[in-house]
Amino acid sequence: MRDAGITEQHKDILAELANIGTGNAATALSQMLDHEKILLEVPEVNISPLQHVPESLGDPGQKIAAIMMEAACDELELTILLALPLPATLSLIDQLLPEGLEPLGEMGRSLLMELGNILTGSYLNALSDMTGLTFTLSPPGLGLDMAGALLGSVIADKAMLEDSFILIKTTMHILSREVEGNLLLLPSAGSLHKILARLGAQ
Amino acid sequence: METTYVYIADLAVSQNEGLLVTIGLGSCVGVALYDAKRKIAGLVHILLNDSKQYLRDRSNQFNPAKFADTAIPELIKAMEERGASRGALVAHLAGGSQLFDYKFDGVGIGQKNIEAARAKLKELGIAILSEDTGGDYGRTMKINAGSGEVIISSLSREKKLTFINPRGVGSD
Repeated sequence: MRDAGITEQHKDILAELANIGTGNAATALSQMLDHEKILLEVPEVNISPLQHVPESLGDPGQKIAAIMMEAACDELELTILLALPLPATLSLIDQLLPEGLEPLGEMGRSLLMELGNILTGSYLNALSDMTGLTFTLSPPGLGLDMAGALLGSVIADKAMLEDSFILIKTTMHILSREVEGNLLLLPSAGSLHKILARLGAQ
Repeated sequence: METTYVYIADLAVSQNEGLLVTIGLGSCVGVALYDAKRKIAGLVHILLNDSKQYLRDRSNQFNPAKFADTAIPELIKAMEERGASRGALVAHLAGGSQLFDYKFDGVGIGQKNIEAARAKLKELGIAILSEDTGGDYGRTMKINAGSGEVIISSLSREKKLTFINPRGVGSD
């Protein structure tokens, strides 16, 4: 890809960025869930060939809820995606909704989107603080389907130029509910070095 | 039975006994081609509609399986190398949906992919025997090289559609 020349140091910087971003997101999530404990794994930074992006969240056939947002700042473009497994997510939504409402009804979907909005928003706030950049955010898009199909759709309009992608993945565990979610950050081709430069990378 | 997985922007050919599978067609389109007489199946998982619209990254090898206009001829070529006859081929299409309930999904990339695949098949004179496209759900597509049977499954619908090539169609 164009961003060839990603060094180990760059990966460390991106992992740290993801760590702080996801830390912010986890705090926001914990507040929504009555201060439940959320465990974060060490972020993984991978350069993935296009062919293998649909497997980046595990089994491409598993059913997930994906909430996606795009962030832009001048020529920088980032896609950020919150992926939660179904049906674990449905029980979580069920608890947050007033009784008697369908988890995947209009309110449930809107709540799920708001959850994505808050989490990805707090992730990006951390990114903003660290880089000094102000991002414009798209409204969240929600998809409930096979992980592979959702990821394929996400990268479709970014794959014109690229045959590999930088994936920055952090896994979160909502301990008491045994829900494991992922926050995935995909910088567009040209964006990565600009972000790295902002963060003082060589 | 030997199963070959076809990744995104990837293609594969199988003969006699093999099963070709592509998991998770969202806005992508899967095109399965079959030569019933020689029991040769091909499957490609197409990401985008038109190679000419896009700049090619000079640092990369061009991957024809990524685009509808180049993927279908490439699949035919790969099948011919295994002994398939172009005139005997019939096609099945699946995918091209819009998964995100917001325009995000690349504003109709799915629809563009379907139309590009149909147009290319028409141009090449290959009949489309079945099509399960559009909508708002992802699909998994399988083709059995032995029987020509195509199975499309999805999570949200939990239904399976099975198409079998009728005798005589596309034979030469």
